[in-house]
Amino acid sequence: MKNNNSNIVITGMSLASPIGNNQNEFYNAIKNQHTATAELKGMDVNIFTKSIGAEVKKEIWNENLTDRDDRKKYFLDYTLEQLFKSSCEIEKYNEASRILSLGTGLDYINVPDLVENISDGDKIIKLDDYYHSTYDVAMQAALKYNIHGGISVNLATCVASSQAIGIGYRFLKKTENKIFITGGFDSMLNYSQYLGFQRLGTFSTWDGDPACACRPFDKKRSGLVLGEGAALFTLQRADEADQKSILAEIKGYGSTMDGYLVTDPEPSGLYLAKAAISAIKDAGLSPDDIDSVHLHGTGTFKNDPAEANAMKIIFGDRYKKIPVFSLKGSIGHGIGACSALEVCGVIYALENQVTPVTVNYEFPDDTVGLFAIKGEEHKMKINNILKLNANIGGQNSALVIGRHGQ
Amino acid sequence: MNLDYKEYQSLQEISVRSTLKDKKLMKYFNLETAALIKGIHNILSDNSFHDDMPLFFALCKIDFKTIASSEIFNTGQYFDNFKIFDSDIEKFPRTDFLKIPALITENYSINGKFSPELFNKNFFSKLSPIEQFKVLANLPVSFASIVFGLHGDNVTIYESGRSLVWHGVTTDYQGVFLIGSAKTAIDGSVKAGIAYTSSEELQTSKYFTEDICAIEMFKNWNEQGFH
Repeated sequence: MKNNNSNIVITGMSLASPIGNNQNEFYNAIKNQHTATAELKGMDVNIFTKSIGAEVKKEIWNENLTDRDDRKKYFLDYTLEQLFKSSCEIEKYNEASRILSLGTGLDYINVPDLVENISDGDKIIKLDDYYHSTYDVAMQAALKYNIHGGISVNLATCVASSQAIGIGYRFLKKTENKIFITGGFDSMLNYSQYLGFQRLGTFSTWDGDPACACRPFDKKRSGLVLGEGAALFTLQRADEADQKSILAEIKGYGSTMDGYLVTDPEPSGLYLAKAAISAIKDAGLSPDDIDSVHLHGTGTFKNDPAEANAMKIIFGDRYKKIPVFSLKGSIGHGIGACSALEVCGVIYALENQVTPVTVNYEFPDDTVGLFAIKGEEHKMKINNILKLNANIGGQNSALVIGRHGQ
Repeated sequence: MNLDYKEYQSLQEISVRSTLKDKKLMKYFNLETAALIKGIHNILSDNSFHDDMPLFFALCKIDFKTIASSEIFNTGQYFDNFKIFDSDIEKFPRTDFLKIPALITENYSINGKFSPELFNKNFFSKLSPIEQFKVLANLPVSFASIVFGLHGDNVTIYESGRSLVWHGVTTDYQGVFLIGSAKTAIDGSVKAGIAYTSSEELQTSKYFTEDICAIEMFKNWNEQGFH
């Protein structure tokens, strides 16, 4: 591999999200502070203790899609189709130079169909028909869209898609004539995975309006709300890209592990901060060059103070002054897709030169103490945004995303 | 490259107790985690490391086969095979989808139709929250981080040996690090490979450009030497 550094840029974007299935819808929803967290409609919810989630609008789905289908597979197909339709960059690269790098979640089991068919006497069962590995889903998509340069499927839950983007960034820094199609796709809004998450006891206990259930940084925060969706990007070397198509630049990437507990973030935020400092250094910047931060911001009791502590380590006395935001109040927690969906929000912030409002942030919490935006989005000059994510298990990721050439 | 590659048969002991300061962690382990922890322990016993050393890991798919439903109903040992044993005979059932065929006998359907209520009542409501930690694919890496105090660059990917090599080649870390893979088979056997290597070394591997299931890559390196 060569070591001739080039800037790495995002030149295309497609998404399927709870607040919009194209860039305009998504941007308008952020601007207007829409939230999609609501009572779940796609499943029989009587068995759940809480049935709040942020579902992708059904308009993009095949009419015949049921609650037994692997939703994330459709999100991936939809976003790939949209990306290929809108991108003029992909066709510049031959099929062997296109690489698919995706973050995603758990394999999908079609439990209802399996139960009904397995009960049918001596019928021959092919388990593959009911069990869909996310690797196979990605591989089939790569074959369908003629992406033959290789695939990488990241399973690191909440950091999966930022790590997937991160490997694309690192690879392209050292390699010419390749394009990465990268991002994330996921849905846990199915019986087995939703019930599994419910058993972990992490869901929001909010008893009021479901639209207010996910409350990042807020004193009344009460836990996470699951979301779903997909967001994909084309990632290229800037010297190979049409300059007019550049949406943003990936300037730095870092990843660390807490080594603390699988259930809780390391409370001092030390290793999350180390991931961020590593990414900022990788970008050739200092913390003073970061204008705004999209935190992981789950709205859980332990995540938000740990992130605030990480902010203190990264920014010192400036940590209370730098504007932060989280989209999870609007779109819920997309798990394997969350960072990718949130990168769309980062690009919105860069394009519009604003730090968006964190939906449902109302009451400041002294244990968090961050400058989260409420009311109106915060207009400001933004060159660089830090994007942080952290997962169950203690893996941390950081991306520095900025305006190209700034 | 310093390599540790092991194949454990169904029901074979994967003894990890002696490697753990906190023995309670074992209750969270599935087969892949136990095999990974054991392999890293073997590697790090002979090699120095810093706490910022990266760990890149690839989980491999379980291969299915076509089977008759009656076969699932009648093979109680099918489920029992998915246990790991320590010297103290502590058992840790694996509770992902492989458990489902056995549990189906408890009937999740009414008149042949799937019942979400029965599925919840007879399966999830009986499940300890601890079991959820055995189905998350990133937890082998997370547990390795906790057990060995590793805080560096990391990844958990699926299946691809080439992608695993890419992560190793492109890391910013200067020095040696760990890459690993594990694969559980449908009979409860497990394979695990761990290598102590560097970016420069991995860049010379043929798997930088040629893809193969990650565990097969380790097996090949073990049998044929690094290439």
